[in-house]
Amino acid sequence: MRIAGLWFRCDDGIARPVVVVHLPGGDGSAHEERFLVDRGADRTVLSADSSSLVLDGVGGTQDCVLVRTALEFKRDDGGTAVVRGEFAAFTDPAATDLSILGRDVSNNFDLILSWPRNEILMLAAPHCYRVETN
Amino acid sequence: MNEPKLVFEENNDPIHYEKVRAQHERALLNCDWLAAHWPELLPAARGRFVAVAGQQAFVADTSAEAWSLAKAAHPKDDGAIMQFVRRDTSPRIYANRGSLVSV
Repeated sequence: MRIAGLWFRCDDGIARPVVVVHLPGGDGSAHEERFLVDRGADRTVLSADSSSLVLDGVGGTQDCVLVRTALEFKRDDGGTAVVRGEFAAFTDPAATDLSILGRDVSNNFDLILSWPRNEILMLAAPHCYRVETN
Repeated sequence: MNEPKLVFEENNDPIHYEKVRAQHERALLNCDWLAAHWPELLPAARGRFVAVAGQQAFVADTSAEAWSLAKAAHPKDDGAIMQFVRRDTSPRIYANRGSLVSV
């Protein structure tokens, strides 16, 4: 299984590793959400603006809410990888501009974040990687 | 630390894949457009929401308003994206130590 991401240039001019994920919406439609690939984050968290599309009525004064949803990743080999469960979602828009892909999801993959090669790859069987010396 | 219970599945339905793939490609077009057009949006967009659909930006004070403007202008673009634009431009350290609670 191979899932490709991209280096997305943010508002500060810095390119950061993201994967674009297919998210079901509260109204039955689906939208595409950018997740920052953050190997140090313990949890996957949806941004506030994303959660407003996933759920109706997210808001209030809590730092975050939990939403039951599915993250669907487009695989390069055809088909999708789906991660279902309960995910945190910020309610404060200023908390993060991008949703965050934490290790609860990413630990299931080998991650390749290569700025020199302009590649973001999430790999799982039957795909793997090999380090070579030229 | 309680680990969340997540279920991993594969969907190999070619019809579904084609729909996801096409939507994904449209989202990448909007991502590329936004990445290339930040200078035109800033600083006016700071502290506000920007939605991008049809490779066109819509800036508003609320996410609902930005999304509505984008969907009204490009109702067929299901690859629209949206985000809050940070007010500050200081370096980002993603190390929030807050705990997550269910409400």
